Amino acid sequence: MLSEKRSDKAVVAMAVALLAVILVGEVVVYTSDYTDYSASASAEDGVITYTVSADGSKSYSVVVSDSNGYEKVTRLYLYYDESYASDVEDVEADVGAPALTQSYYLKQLVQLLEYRGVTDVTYVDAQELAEVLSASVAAGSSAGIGLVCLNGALPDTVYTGNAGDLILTWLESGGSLYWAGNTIGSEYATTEGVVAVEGDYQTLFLGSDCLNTDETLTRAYEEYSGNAYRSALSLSNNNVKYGVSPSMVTSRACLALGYQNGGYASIVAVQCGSGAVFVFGGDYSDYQRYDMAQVIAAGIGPQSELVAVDTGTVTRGSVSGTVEATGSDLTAYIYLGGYYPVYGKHFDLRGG
Amino acid sequence: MRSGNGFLCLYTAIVIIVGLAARIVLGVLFTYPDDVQSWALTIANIEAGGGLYDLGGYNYAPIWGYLLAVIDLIGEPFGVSDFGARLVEVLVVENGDSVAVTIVPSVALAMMVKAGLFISDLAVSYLVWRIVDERTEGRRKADLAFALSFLCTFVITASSCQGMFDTVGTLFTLLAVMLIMKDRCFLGGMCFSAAVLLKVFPGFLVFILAAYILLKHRYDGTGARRVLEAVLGGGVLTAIVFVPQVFEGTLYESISFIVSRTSTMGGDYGALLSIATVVLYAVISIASIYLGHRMYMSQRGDLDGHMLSLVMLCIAVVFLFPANAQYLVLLAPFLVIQYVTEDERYRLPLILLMVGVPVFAMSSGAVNMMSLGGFTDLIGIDTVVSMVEWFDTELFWVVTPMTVLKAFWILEYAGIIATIVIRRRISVERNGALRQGISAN
Repeated sequence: MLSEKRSDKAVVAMAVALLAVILVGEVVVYTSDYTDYSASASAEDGVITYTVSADGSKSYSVVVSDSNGYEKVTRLYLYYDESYASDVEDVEADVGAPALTQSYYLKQLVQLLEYRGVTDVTYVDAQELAEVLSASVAAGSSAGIGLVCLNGALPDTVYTGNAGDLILTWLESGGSLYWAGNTIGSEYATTEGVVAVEGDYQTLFLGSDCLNTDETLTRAYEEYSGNAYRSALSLSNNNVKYGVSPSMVTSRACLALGYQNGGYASIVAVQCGSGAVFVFGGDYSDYQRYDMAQVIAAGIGPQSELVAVDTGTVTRGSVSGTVEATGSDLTAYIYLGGYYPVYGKHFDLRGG
Repeated sequence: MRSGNGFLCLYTAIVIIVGLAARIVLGVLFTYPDDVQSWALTIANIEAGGGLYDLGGYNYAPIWGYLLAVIDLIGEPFGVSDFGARLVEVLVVENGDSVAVTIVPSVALAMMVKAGLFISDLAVSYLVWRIVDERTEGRRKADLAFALSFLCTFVITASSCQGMFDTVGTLFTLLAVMLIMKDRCFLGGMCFSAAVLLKVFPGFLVFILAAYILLKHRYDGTGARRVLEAVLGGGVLTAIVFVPQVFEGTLYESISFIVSRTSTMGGDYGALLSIATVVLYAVISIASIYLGHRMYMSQRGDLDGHMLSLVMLCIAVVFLFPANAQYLVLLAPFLVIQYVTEDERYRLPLILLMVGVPVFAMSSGAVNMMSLGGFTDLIGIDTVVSMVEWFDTELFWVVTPMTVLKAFWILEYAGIIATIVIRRRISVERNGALRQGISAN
């Protein structure tokens, strides 16, 4: 038998202490949020002054871009309609992880965008999508309005493979389309199934034949060399399946970022009229989703140029700094946490 | 009987220093990126306000997440600001047989998490010392048990290299066992619930522990009440732990790691694997019920000793399937206790496990050095990548250096089987002696 009661105290104390630690952790988990962080930025005479604050210890990045006229998305629509067909590959999830369905992906994207400062997010079904796109076209400009489509095929309420389709008119009027999960424009969805588009769908959306249609060309092993956005925005998705070759985009502004293989990049933004099409490579993945949230929050577009990056660490307090940057349409995206972002905020520095 | 001396002495202090030094050195050198980066993601999700389940990335029951939050609370002010990076240099190895590299965790982040695991290892070994000290004469055996536990090779690799939290589940299991032995059944039930919510395997001990309580108190009539106290304690802890998930509607996600092991698996043989998993866990459950019955029918005067022996046996049976390396951490303290207090023949499984398990645990090879290469100047990341590629290189036929390391799994399994066989042999000898004693009388 275990011996006398004097021994009990140490064991009891250890048990109570450990259980108390669990309770402390529970409180910490459910009282922590991104409001523990803040950032500010202003520009004057070619100098951007910023301040970053954190309760804990965090690395921060200040990413300064010249948008060259691209307007950041401030209202975002997420297309999701279970009554319409979709065409995306099933993706295996980790043991214990939720299945990586379209519904789950969108729900997670909303959360990722929230702590990056993108909060005007609305789900739309096929009919509602047609209504909101029509309304913004009728208003004269769709700049600042974005649409995320992960369905693999746009619904027939906005796209049927023809040049005059509503989605294309909307893009021409300034809308931004964020696309992932299949070859853009190759199909459209109906309530009965998906329909293959016979015409030159690549030219409709991207201006030329520039899409990766080789489904065996997937992983990329080097970063895109044309700019430093990959490290600046801590981008992780290295898949170029369904991706765009920036060198094959002709007569349109085009920004590639992330990783590259075979001439295709993991993220490419292509100008479409006054708007933009963003193509994210690969089937559904967590990395793709993180990158999509980061690109949307950073407010960069096909015309954007990376001007400056400043990084540092803030520990239980505030850090201020300056970045020299010149440009006519400067914006700054400040985020904390590096490849594990916990907060982000976009600043329009035009006129500074 | 207790030695009467305190735990700390020159011997235990040396063991602590050597054990911690080994953990720190190995912890800096090796980090299994896949699991440790998920701890980084979990901490980041908590900090961003996503709790444990609103934002994807954490796939366990809540307790380990709560503990990660405390580790972060304590560790971050020490300047752990960089959790990891997507290193372009290592992308090329994602096509090999190596585990997908993911975002490589920083050494600082890895050590912050591992520090918590080292403390747990020390606490586990202290409890092993206490049990042996209270069951044997003098302190020599207790000191030996402490050394074997704290310097156990596969316990060290699980905490310092793999960064897995099996040591915490083991700690709560040991606490539950000790508290129940000391008739602190409510608190013991709370600790047992915590152990099960960390890793499900201790759950199979419930029948043995319940039978122990009932048998121990069969003459004073308090057995049922004490079992009820333990159940109540477990229920209270479970309720407290899951309250946030109930309110935020993520209860299913919080238990998905347990449920998913028996749900339909993908792939050509997915359905067959799923059925096999269910069948095997059913068999293990039946075995644990049988061991509970053996506990209840015990005629040994030393009920504590019998219970500890059956706990060891039950754990060994559970790990006949599956036997990931880090799971064996739960077996270590109970096997050490049996070796030191019951029978020296347990030396064989101890040796087999101490050789086989850490090698098998490190079979992903140089992938475990990604953090070292990416975040220190001790070795270049390109050198690490070359080493990873070498581990995937065919030496002959289909054999690569990685498959050679994975083959040490055979020693691991041999150690588990040897534990069961030796336990069976001891039981037969003991029953034989008992029968001889009865017939002599």
